[in-house]
Amino acid sequence: MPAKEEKLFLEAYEKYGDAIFRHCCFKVSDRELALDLAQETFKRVWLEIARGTQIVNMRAFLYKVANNLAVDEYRKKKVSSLEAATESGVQFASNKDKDIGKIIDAKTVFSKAEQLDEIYREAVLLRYAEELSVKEIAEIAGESENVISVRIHRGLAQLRTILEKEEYGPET
Amino acid sequence: MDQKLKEFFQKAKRVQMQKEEKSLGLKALLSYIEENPVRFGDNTRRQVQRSIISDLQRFLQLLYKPMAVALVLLITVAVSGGASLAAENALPGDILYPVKTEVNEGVRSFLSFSAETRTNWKVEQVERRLQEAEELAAKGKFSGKASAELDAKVEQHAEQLSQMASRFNSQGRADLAAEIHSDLEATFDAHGKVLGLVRGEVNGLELSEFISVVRTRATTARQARQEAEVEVQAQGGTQQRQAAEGKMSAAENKIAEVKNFIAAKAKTQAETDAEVKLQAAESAFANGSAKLQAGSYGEAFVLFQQAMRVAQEAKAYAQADAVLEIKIEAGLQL
Repeated sequence: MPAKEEKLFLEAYEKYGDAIFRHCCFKVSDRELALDLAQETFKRVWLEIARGTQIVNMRAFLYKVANNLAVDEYRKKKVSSLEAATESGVQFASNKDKDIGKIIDAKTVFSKAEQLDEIYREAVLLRYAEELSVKEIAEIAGESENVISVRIHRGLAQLRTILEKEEYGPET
Repeated sequence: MDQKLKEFFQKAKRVQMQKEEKSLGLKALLSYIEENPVRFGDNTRRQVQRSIISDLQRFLQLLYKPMAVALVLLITVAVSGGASLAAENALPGDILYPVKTEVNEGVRSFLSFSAETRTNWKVEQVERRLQEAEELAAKGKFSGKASAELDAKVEQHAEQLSQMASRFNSQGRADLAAEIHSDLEATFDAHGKVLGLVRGEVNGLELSEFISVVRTRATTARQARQEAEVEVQAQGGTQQRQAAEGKMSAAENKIAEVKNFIAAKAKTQAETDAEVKLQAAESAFANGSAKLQAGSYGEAFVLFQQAMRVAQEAKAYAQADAVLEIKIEAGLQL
């Protein structure tokens, strides 16, 4: 099949575009910035493909590139804290979004996720929201599978506490 | 895992891009792919296939937009071809306009296989956008929104053409690059003048701005064309001769085409500028033939190209005359 590379790449955007965007959202706490980062991620990956790099696991590779770009963003110190972003409330759902439920959901999710330590947040979200394997997450994070398993375990425990706290006291 | 955690992850998964954001992203990636083609393997083969694939993708991409889906269904189910035909006269802001630019033109781009038909069609697309601007302005409906939409499309086509030109240049075909710039120059020049005439009747800030952008584009194209012509003149004898001969038959065809067009469209008016222009094209052509016989291939090339450009302008004037009913008097200087 001619132009196989284009086809695979565009399929990857179709399949993982939202997930990469979401991942960036949790990383940089800014919807517009996350959109840019996700787009940039796909551009970088395309350049690799165009150069002839063989990518074995496209999904994991996309996350890796996204992580690197997010780190660059941190270095630029442009990133606001998750807390500041969730206070204004609308960043994670587009302003054009008419589905109020979605906006509220996004807001609660982010206010909870914000309380998780970052390494745990990434591990549990990738494992349970995106359903990646421990092996894949290890590859993305550049850690051993053991380390990731521990992070998932601790992250879940932390998240459970956060979710229970909500029932008895006011939200933080 | 308990219910609360499950709910949390489900909600997290609902953080997504908006449909429009995603389709905009896809659009940007498609042009990025086009700008950065795969660099390994058999390049020529890939290039052709890539263009076809990307046109198809662009066409299929429409299916992401709900309104476009409705329109596509409308065409296939209800009128089967009728809407598509009706859309041909649509202007920005009309409900059928996306059918014209995306479906009809998408199909035509998809069917343009050779480099020549592709470049000609791209130039024609630029022309279509400028004609739409003229029609809107003549109807007093030229808004800032239409202006932005049309200019963005013109920009996109012009950008693709300039990429094609630089590709030709890098393949040592400065003559083909010169042709692209020359066609664009003629198009922007002629339509800039027609738009100026329309403005004489309806005033508007948006229109004035649009016109000044068109004029700037004409200047840019002129400079690029002149540079490419210098390249052609610097080429070796045989290559130059071939370029001049090729250009001669292209100019001949163009003049004949425009002649027919004017005969079919123009109304029984006094001598219009279109006809004066056409005569100018014929005389440039005659000069070119003389140079060719004298063996001055570089100069002949430039003259034939000029003949084509002037003929193209004549066509734009005749078009304006027929569609907008704007009389373009002979010798009118703008």
